[in-house]
Amino acid sequence: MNRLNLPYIILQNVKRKPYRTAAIALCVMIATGTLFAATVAMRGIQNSLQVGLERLGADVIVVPRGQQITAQEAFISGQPTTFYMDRQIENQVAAIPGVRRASPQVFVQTLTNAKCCVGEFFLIGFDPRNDFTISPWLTTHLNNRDLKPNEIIVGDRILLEPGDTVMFYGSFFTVAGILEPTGMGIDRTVFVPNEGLRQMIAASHVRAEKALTIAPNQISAVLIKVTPGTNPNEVAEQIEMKLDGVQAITATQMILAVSKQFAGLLNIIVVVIAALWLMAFITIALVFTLIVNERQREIALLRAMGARQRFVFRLIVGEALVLTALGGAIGLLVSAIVLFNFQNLFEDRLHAPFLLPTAPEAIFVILILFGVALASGALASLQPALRISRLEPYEAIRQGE
Amino acid sequence: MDSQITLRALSKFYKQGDEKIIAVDNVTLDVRAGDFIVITGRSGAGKTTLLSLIGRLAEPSAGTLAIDGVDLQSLDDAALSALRARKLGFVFQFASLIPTLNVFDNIRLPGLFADKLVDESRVTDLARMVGLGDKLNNRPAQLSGGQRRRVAIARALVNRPAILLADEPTGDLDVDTEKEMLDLLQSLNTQGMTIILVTHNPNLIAYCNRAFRMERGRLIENAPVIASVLSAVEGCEAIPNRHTEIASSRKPLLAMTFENL
Repeated sequence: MNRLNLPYIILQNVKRKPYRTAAIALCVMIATGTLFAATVAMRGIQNSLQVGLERLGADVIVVPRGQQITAQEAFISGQPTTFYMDRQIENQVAAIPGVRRASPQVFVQTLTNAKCCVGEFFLIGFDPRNDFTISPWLTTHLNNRDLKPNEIIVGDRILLEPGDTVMFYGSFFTVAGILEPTGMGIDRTVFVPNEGLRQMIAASHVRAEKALTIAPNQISAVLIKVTPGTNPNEVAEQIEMKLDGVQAITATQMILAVSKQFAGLLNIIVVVIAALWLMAFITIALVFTLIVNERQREIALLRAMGARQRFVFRLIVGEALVLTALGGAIGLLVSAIVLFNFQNLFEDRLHAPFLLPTAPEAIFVILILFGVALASGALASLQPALRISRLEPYEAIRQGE
Repeated sequence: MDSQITLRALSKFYKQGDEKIIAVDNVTLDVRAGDFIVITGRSGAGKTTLLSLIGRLAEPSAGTLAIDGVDLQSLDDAALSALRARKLGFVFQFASLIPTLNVFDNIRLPGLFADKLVDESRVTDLARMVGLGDKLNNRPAQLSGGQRRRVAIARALVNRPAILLADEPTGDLDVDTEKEMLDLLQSLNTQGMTIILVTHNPNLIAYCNRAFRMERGRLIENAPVIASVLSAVEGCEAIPNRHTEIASSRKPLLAMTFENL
């Protein structure tokens, strides 16, 4: 003998009209799935910026004047770029009060026929003596050993494995390690120790199709770590005031630049999601108004048998909860499967730094959105549930005639 | 003898625009435990409304109603629901089964509200009693109108209520099944169950010990049109051609037996 109780009756009611159940579940599924995708996308951009800038480790980046936008694009999306300034800038920057460490970098763009991978890649030469972008990673991942001049570290999106050998500008390099994904330009960047980069530049004149013409006294950017308690914006201001021909970009500015870029898109997404939720909410409210109208006699009958108002209320709201739970769960599942399986496609289409949330974070978002879906279902069915539960049974019978 | 159900000047009004519709008008009645009351009357006379007032499915506009001495107006939803679940059984005029539940679950459903687990044997016995022992797994849609009515009767009895309120309980039944059902009700009545049955069929008063008719919301002692039937039926306490308007008299006339009148 099966248990005859409230959940059993609710489930039987849900199964009563499969098309109606499917329609409500579909509404909730679309609304929840879209909200999840949008939340993950926005969170993914935030995550990526956070992780990417942490990896970069710089509070301020100094580049030649007029190169702020291209530099930002290079760091954010890995778009290869080349610009140079005098190495003296490194020492001048290091002398600015509030600067704790200054590390120079040299930018090189690979040729399209580089013997490793399709497309052009961003090569960054770094100085292992004072670098704080790659060196901390070497400490934890390569047992603190120094990179040999012909060894490189590559970003996660460059399809190379440790031990692979590649040729840039006629020089061979061996992959010593692969950085963790950040969703930012670092994922598409090849890091070469300065010594190796200089050797490559020198050799390019005899070995490469196109020679590199970067003078030894030229660098592209200086990455700065400020002393604890110092405001990076103040340091950036000082640099621009005291040094000619340079621009200082703070990490905050980079985040703001990306946020600005996506502000319009975010607004559209918010409006679309709000419209979808409103549509789902109104649909549930309307359907449940219809449901209670068509079941008035049944509900009066339950009251006549001794069902309390609370039972009737829970019966209606319970049905809404089951439907929204069903739709919400499917929506979240489908959305998660699509997002996690097509992450690269999503990232490419988004043209933004993007890093999927970690499993605990994704689960947290899923639980929150599932709760939001349930709350919406309960809220939408609240008025019909209250009305029918408070209706005098005999009145319900008469109205149901 | 104490009355089990006490109605005092009970009325029910409705507003239809500016017009006041009087569905039940000033009804006073005492029902003793074990009474089998049949109330006849035309459609719209107020029979169903009166039955709903007695089961407290509708709130009276005026007057009082008590069951076993408890004023029903003083009860909150929980107490009223508990009373309905434990003391009252309803058989409605309309097809009143839950379409998503099979016959077995429909019959045992009132047990859920009486907070007691209904034995499987109790359900099967009742189903067998109404001739549907082989239909326990059927859904209401798979039953005829008469079969559904029989399930509704079985369901009304599952909690062993002290009072059965039946609104046209034999409406869809063929003559043979109708007789079987009425014999069953009579047998339950013999065992002590109070039955109040409303019908438009005057022949059913053959089964009662007290008969009334309703006219325009008023409860009137047996009507002349059925007097000949009443006088022919043994056990039905009616005095032919006596037109006592019970409600308007404001006296608990029906508390007395007809012999006393």
